[in-house]
Amino acid sequence: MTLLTLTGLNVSIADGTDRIHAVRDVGMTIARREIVGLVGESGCGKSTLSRAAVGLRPAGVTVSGSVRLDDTELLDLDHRTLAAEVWGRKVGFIPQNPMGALNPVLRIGHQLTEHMRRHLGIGAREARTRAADALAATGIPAPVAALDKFPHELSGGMRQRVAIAMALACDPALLIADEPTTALDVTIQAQIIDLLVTLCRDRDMAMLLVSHDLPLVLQVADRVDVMYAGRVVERAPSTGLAERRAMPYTAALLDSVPTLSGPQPVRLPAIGGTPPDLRAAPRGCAFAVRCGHADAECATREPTLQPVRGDDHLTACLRPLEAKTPVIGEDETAPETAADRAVPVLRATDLVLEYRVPGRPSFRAVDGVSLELHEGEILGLVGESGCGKSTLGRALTGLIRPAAGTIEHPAGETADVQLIFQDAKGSLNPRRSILDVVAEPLLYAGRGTTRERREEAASLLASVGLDPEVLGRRAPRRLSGGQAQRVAIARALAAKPRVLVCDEPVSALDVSVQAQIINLLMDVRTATSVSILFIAHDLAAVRAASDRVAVMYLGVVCEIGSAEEVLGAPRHPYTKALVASVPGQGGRLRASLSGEPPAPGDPSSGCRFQTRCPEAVPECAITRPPLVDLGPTQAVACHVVAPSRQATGVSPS
Amino acid sequence: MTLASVMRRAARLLLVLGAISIVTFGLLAVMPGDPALALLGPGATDAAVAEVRASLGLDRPLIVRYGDWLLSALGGDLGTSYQTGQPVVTSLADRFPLSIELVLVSQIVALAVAVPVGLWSARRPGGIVDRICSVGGLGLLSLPMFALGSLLVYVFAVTLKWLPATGIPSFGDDPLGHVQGLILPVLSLAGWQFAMYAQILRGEARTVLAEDYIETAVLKGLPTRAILLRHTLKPASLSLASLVPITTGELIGGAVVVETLYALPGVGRLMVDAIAARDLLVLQGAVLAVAVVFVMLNLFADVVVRWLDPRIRSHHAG
Repeated sequence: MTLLTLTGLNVSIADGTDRIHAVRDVGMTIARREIVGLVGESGCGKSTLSRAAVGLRPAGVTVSGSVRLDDTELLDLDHRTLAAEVWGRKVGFIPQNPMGALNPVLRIGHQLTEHMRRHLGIGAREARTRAADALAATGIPAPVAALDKFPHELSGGMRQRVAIAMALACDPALLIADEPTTALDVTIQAQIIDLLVTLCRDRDMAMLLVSHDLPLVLQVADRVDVMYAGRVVERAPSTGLAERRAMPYTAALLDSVPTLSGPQPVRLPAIGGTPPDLRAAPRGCAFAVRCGHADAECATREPTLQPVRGDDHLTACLRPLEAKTPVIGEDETAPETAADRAVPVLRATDLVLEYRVPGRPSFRAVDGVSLELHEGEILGLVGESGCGKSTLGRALTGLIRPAAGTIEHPAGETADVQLIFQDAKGSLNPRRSILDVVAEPLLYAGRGTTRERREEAASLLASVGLDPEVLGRRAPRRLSGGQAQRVAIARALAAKPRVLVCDEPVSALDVSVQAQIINLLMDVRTATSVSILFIAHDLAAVRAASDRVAVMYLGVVCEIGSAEEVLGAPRHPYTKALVASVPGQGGRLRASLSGEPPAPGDPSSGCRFQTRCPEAVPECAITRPPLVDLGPTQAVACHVVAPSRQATGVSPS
Repeated sequence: MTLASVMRRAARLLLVLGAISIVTFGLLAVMPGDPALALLGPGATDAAVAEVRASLGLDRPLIVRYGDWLLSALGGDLGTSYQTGQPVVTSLADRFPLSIELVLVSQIVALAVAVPVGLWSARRPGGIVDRICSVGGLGLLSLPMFALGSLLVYVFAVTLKWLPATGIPSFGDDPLGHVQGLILPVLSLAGWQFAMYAQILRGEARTVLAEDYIETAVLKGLPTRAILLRHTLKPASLSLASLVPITTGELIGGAVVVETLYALPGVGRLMVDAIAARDLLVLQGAVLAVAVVFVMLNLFADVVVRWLDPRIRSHHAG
């Protein structure tokens, strides 16, 4: 039975004097109890579509076509009626960003009950009871106590549970979830997706799951719609889509996502180019300019959704692929890199890093870490939020003074570590041209005349794949996320660093762009022999980029080794759980790790991981396990896996 | 707020007051003009001036006079006016209530108008309310207070004769007359306050309205009223809350102008008259009293900001 029917839906957004045609002629149905995935790169129109699908029309947004929920035409209803009868009541909305989606100055209880009281006509007391039930249903421990808290007192995962409870509160028939797990750690992400699917099944809800993460969606959705440039370009059941995909764009999305299985690629297959500007309707297929399979007809005739393999598998493509054809990227043999010689350029020994807050005991973010970074290697550093990986990265650049331990530069002087941020755009001075941004480190190094510095900056821009003629005079705000990260890398390289510390350099980027940036970092390493510390929470991205990987948990390194060893055959129970939480490994998604890390800075004795560890033995509560070598490159800090008969030289004190 | 932090603030308050009393005392000492001469008039003989100076204690060194003043101030005695012989504390008690009333009512009027106007402008940027308020606001901000006051007097008192131009009966004698007498001074004072608050709130509210949690609230099906008043106003009024006490200080300065313009017996007039008469102790007492009010207001604003933003509350809690 159909719950939601979209017919001929068009959405355009006013942009100055132009209009962006964000959604173009989309038809879609969602049946009761069905989970439908909506996938595409940012700017493809999926978020806009998900809002128009519940009748939301903010100022400047024009929606035409038809949106029927049950038998009601939502586009005929005004804002006031939609608010009173549809939103929060028949449709629950789960926002993307749990940090920003709850009002910071209102208590959880208030935010959970206000719409219940309005929609269900119940009193404050009953609403509170129901709110506590809803929180309990989303797995929040001590739900009644949580009602009196403010959002900032909860972790990101807990906040997202609150947002889910808010959406469930009035028993809607349809959930709209816009990137519900994107901002979360991988273990928490698995828990939240599990929770959403279970809730939908238990409560007979349908869900539109909007995400950029195709492997994730394939694991939980019944059906998937892939969107590109405002249109649905492929629609198919999730099962088997990875092999049966027909549209080259879908194939490219699938291939550019790094995985944890299969051989480690030398280069990630990336989709070149960028999505089209939707101010004017594209001529022909909107993907044709980025498509390796396009021909002359693709450039002139825009295809419509047609059945391709059976009635339930449709694609808008004139040249659909055969089942399972490799699309982009061939395996290459890895070039010889300096990393193979293992010459240390940066060595941290028993590093302790603390944050001091006046009037409180200082908070120990990193507690005894010893690491070596070799010349020309990419060392991945992974772990959940709050594990201390960013703090460690900053300390290695010299921005944070260690409370104990040492940082040495065996190969040279100290001022040659550069930092790359997650928010690349925010790290570029908005008032300077891109060329000047890149030239600035050259100025401080006292190199050349203004003209020579500009020339060098231009060649640096070219080396990161940007055209200095086109982009050099522009302001940073006019760059895309991927371009901004390229500029940041060029600027870092201008200082001729021996070490680049990249703190979540790709986590804000689309998968296709993510692949481009990872490839660029690997190229930069090959070309300049720079060593890179690649900090990320995305294990697959780390595996794709890194030679070696270190895993951190609550301020300590619990496992380190080659990327193949650590992520392919993890030994530490925490690494195993992390790896098992990553979607796209054949089986259904498993929330392999329950609970959240205990409050950092509250070190219990013994192993940090014991409170969540499925394999803990009594000794884990007593002594802290040192890092013990398991082989020439791999070392693990665990009493169960590696009883510490011979502690290595790099063990924490 | 914990007892310790209250004590810390109280100690800071005393320090501030001490510093202010020293600065005003010093300023008055170097200011040209002589209280004795002001008292006696221009024709006074040198001998008469010297005699009066001696009787007022002005012949003693500055430091001794300050110490003397400080000692009795600590005992609650701020001295007597050279001019009238009335205790300074009594003059302040006579004059302060009206000034406080003027400033408080102006603030309330300014905020009461600025909040709906600011929120509505933010909700419909470029709409009719927004345009009227940004043009009118700019006008009010650029108009000096005495000019606005004179304009109001001309329109409402001289031309329309709806309201009195000067003077105010006490509330006890004539409640209606008191309220009528208050209207024009309050409007003169509140004009630019309102304009500034509306502009600031509009900017803050626009930022808040673009936040994800507002979309969440909209898609929970909340009515627009709840979204603006609960979800938008509270986070958007943070900077307003820290601004209000600062502008209250400005308002006290404004009260000097307005009280002079409308011939109101407030503390502003008291200060102006005291300066003209070189009546040091009255001026000293008035400045100190204003400073106390100003510092207390800042303390109060801190409490309000903590209430508005729980993140600040818990950050300082430990």
